[in-house]
Amino acid sequence: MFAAIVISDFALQAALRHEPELRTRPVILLAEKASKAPILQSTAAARALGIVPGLTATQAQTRCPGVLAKLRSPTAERTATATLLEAAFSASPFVEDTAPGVCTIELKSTRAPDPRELSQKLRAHFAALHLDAQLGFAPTADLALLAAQSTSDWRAIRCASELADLPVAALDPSPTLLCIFEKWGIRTLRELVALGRSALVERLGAEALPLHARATGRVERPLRCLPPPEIFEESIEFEQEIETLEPLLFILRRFIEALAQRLENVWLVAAELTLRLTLADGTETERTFKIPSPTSQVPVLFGMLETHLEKFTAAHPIIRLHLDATPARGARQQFGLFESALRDPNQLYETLARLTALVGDDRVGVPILDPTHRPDAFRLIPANFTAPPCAADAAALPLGLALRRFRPPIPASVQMKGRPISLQTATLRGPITAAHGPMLLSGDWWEGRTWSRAEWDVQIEGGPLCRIYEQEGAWAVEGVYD
Amino acid sequence: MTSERMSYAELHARSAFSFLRGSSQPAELISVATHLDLPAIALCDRDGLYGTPRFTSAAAETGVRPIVGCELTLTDGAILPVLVETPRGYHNLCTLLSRAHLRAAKGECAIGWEELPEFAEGLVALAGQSTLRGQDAPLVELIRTFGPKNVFVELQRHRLRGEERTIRQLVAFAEKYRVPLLATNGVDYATAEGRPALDAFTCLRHHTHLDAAGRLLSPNSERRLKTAGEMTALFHDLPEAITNTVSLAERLTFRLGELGYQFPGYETPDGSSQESFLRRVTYEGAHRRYGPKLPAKIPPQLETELTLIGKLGFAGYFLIVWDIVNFCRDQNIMVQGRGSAANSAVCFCLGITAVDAVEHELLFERFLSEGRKSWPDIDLDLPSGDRRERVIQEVYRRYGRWGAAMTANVITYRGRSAAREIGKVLNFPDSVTERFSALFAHGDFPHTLDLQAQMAQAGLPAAHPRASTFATLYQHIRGLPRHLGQHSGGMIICQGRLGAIVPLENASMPNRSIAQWDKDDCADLGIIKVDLLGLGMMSVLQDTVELCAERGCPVDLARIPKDDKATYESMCRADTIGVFQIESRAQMATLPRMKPACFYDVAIEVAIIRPGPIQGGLMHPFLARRCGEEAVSYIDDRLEPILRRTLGVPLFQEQMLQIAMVIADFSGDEIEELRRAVSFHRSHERMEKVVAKLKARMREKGVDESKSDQIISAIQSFALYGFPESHAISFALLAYASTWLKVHRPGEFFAGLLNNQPMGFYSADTLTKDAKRHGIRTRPVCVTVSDWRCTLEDDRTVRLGLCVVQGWQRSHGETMLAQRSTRPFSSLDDFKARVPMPKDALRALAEIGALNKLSTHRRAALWETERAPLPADDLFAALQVREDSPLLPMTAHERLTADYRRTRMTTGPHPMALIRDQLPDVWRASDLEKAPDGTHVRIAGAVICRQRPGTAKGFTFISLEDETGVANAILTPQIFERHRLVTVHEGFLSILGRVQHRHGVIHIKADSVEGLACRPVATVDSHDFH
Repeated sequence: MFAAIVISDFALQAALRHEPELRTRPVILLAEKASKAPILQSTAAARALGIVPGLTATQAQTRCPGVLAKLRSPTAERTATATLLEAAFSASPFVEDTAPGVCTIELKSTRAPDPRELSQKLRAHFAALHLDAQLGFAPTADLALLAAQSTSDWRAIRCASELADLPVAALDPSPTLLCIFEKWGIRTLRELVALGRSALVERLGAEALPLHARATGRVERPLRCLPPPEIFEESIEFEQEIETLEPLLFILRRFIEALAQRLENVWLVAAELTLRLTLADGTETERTFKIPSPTSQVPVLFGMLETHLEKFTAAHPIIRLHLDATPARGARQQFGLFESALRDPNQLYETLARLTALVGDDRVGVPILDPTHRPDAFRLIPANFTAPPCAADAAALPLGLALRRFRPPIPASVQMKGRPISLQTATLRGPITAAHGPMLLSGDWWEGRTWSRAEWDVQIEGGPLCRIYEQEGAWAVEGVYD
Repeated sequence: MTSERMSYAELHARSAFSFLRGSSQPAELISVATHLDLPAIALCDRDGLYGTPRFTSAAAETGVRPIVGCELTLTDGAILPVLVETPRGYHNLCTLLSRAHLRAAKGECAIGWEELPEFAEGLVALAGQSTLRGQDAPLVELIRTFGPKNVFVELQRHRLRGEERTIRQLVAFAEKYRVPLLATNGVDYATAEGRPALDAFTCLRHHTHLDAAGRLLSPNSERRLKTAGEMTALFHDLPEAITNTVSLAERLTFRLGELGYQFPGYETPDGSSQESFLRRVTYEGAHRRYGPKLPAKIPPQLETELTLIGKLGFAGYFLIVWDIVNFCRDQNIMVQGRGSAANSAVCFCLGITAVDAVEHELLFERFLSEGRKSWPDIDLDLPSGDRRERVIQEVYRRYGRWGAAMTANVITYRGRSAAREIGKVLNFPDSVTERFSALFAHGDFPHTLDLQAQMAQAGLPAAHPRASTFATLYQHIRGLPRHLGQHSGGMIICQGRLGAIVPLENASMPNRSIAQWDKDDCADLGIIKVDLLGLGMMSVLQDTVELCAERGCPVDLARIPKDDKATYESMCRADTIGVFQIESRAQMATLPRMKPACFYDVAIEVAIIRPGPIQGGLMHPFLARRCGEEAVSYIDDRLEPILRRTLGVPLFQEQMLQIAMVIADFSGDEIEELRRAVSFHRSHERMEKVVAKLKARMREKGVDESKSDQIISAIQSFALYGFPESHAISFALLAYASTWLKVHRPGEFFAGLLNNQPMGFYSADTLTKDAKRHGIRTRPVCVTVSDWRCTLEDDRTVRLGLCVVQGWQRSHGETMLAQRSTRPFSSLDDFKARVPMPKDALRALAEIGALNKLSTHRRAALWETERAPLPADDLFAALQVREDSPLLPMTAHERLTADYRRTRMTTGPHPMALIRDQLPDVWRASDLEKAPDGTHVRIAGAVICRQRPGTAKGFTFISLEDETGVANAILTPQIFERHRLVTVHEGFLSILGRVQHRHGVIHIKADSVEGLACRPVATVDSHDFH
């Protein structure tokens, strides 16, 4: 026997999984970043207002000004697919990822579960995850899928004739065929089958054959089974709440050792660790550790977690611990003759983690120049040890003298007489013997962040050649020339 | 420093006519240059002289000397600014630009260095960084090409780090090759306020947004016009670069007025002079019009006109237009002159116009007067489509690709396009700009909703950090040129090479070239334009007349009675769907009040529903006087002879001119000035000037202040699209002829209308429904009888042609007709075998029932069309048993859906008839006359027309069609705003409101609007906000 699980309007359900309150409101799903994209799917509340797939968002708004538009989310769909497959594997090891939002299971065991019982269990599981699933049971895989599409709950059938009133669209014909069926007035499988196999093939060609076969339930195909997922995770629910670090680290070390051993057994290493702590108030905290140089060495893996947990504080004791390792093949890299690798990327990563813990996320990274006329404008990007940090569109390298910048610039007071004539800072003072400027720069006028400054290059008597500037009425020394 | 030494001329400025490379109008540059006391300014737009006429005309009354220049894109990517010194230089520049544009695709232009020597004479080249790009070889080449005295090394300082290195290098080049220096500021905007718009344009040019544009944006706001003092300070180390600007500006003596344009002469067949030949053909024409004995008034009028035409040297022009008209007649293309030409008896005798100016006492001075400096306007109406294209191509053939061109139409940034582009630049989500476009799809009016409210409705609240930037950019960009289109029919021609007078370029349409100037620019510079305008109705009339002749009941439109009672009754009933001009909602609402009873009434009806008379508050007094609700009075007794025909209310431009002549003693020159001000929409200044003169003159003559104000107000309103009387009469001829045909030859007329869709106010579907109400049956497309075009089966039956099937190609139709002419189709298999065509085309025929004669019903035909055809030589084909189709026939609703999908119309029942039983509380259009005034009713139907005219203070007019007729609703601005999205986008509406009966017209004043929940079909075509 086969079972099919169908999540109808899969993309929309996936997009709304984490906002279940929206499922009863008029919501439409649009293709990602597409201009004037037609509506892909809509909730029942939206459909009741005449907002059906194919209309544009503007048309939807005319029918319901409060309609909410969501963009399709590939990430959400990936997660929902994983959830679907995970549930399917809990029922049988023979699982096919048939289509987005659809999977088929072969129930081979001699003790085949009762469809009602299995449906209730799976539907409850999906309901908890905010997904509505339909289930179908039938002697063939394709019939099981059709059975699932014919119900909003679950349905078990023995032969195709029980599905005669199902719409032809359930057979998933090509848009051209579907359009032809619509013009012919053929709406159900019964009407399609009644046309006769040879008459259909004569008109629609070979494409009609599988459709007819599926409609009559004559297709018996083997499933394209997925391998069971290899899961490297450990978790424990504490009998007594954990309030201090030592017992947590003790358990974690054992988890790491176990995971490392399992990874080594299949010649894999850990590329990422995910630590999830459940607190007594029910909240969860999760942290993922990317491992720059994937490894299965226990001290390295454990060190990362330890560093993080040393700074970790929580308002409530911990009641559950979960550790998940993402497996990867061991790195194979040959360096060039004159290329040097980081001696220990994991050590560097750990150091960066410590720095981040000290100064904050936004203050650690690789600086890159912003493509703007604003002098010295830069932003930090996360460290990437494989790609060059310089952006291609950074400012061209200036010719002439090199400027040593003061970061931050040194506030100064400047006397002007058509040009700067004297300068005074905490460390630098004196008359200006020569000045060149002003060089005028301004920008970012479009969002209330307008800036504008006048720069001068000045020679201080007996002192250095400096770059000074005036911005918003205040002077500063930006740097000195070599 | 003395004031003389402080002088500086800006010789390198770009305007918004550089298209995304400048952000100020040419006039703004002139205005700021005047303010800054600059003696001269050169406009150097990129690859064109698009803005030069406006630039020159703006400078006309200032102390600033406009210098003509251009930035040339060279094939290696260098940009070479050149300035025009002499007329020869100007012709060279135009020729060079025309040549480069005409060989390239639209919007592209690149000139080879090797082409420059041929056209260098009379031009001065500026060699700056963009030309030399760090090399001295191009400078050597320029000196060789233009001569050492005509090359300047151009220096620009924008207070940027690193530019001194460039300056030093350029100065070194100048010294090395002994070339003088020239300071310019490379101006991109008149004032620093123009910089944001330029940055926005830069983003558009690079297809990016401000957040990502980075260093593409301007580093500062220094590319503005600067004073002599500022520029002198900037170049204090190179004073000669400043003084050279003034001396060079003095050298550049060319003025745009010296174009050297000549209208082509007409070669008379007998070698006589143009004047005597014109006299001969005019009198020949007069005898054809009036018979051998001319009425007494005619010869003196002809003599007056011919003398003036001869004196002004326009004889050749009249003969050339006459020649084009003759070509049309020879080619059997209907033609009719319109506009002020209809004021001329000579034009009538030459057959150019169909209006007898003498009979209608039309003012010749409106057309031609002694003070006139520009060419008279003769516009020719032609049947739109292929026939007009034939005439245009004939003009190209006669004068050559370099001798004739369409005038340009400068497309500017308007509400929706400006908002969309700014939205892109500010990196707004598509949803905001799309919503803005959807809400304000056809523009909006500031008096009902200001920009901030429009933005808020589009999802951009005032508190949004970029909302104020959006508003600022929107105001700045709105009205700036966006790209060049082509004028609907204006052609300019030239004796010799037009391409040397104005740069020409290719239009998007194949075999069309356009000039870089629009019609007003051309008129300003004395270039003559002949308007070859396409009128859908001319096409309909010609088709109808031909169809009548084919059916053995010919009609001569020139001889149809002008006093036909049935025709006027039809107008009085506002039964005018499909006829010319008087079919709009506003016209139909006025006709029952106006009750036209003679031809002149039709001319008034045509003229009165115009923004001019409406805004001038002239429409209602006229109608009240006509209905006897108000006594006829005159602003001044002296005006009675002028205004008697229009019951004391001035309605026509000619009346304005006559009033000025009588009451303000305006001379011929002054009348010409007034005429130009009234018909020249672009210049408020011109209008204000002439109004002030008129006012002063009236005061001098002791005209009462209130009377003077009334006259001034009426004249000002005419600047907003008032009609000349002659034009109204020309249009009235078409309106009358089309109504006459609708009444007396309805079958032929509807067939003609259907064959020329889309045109006019209503969709083919609405026209079919109207035809049905007039007892004309429209039969569906059928492959056994239909032609390509719609035909008449009998007096009361129109057979739809294959042309109405969406996506059906003419070649398929021709193949089918050729096959059918050999022998009829015996079966669907026979049809499929003999008319090969894509399957979808065949499906379309089956779906709309066009194959029903070869099958049993639409679905049966669909069933058969899908079957692969049997090979022609299949010996067993005859033995094969044809099984009946197992498919059920389509329901009425399915047939309707298929009809709309494939033909956008149906010959079956109206969509509303199919859902009538679901709408128990909805009044049918035909029942509304029974509803007492003020009753609350609900109407519903397909939207066939949405209008929100600028003159209606934000009121919106919606026409809903159902199976019984058309119901009209009025939405107040408040109701419209509340239901804007529904009103604008839904194809079927349900409107609740109160019935208003006014002067025999029924309107529903809407209280609420909603989309019709049970839509019978997805959508129908409507005429929206045109």
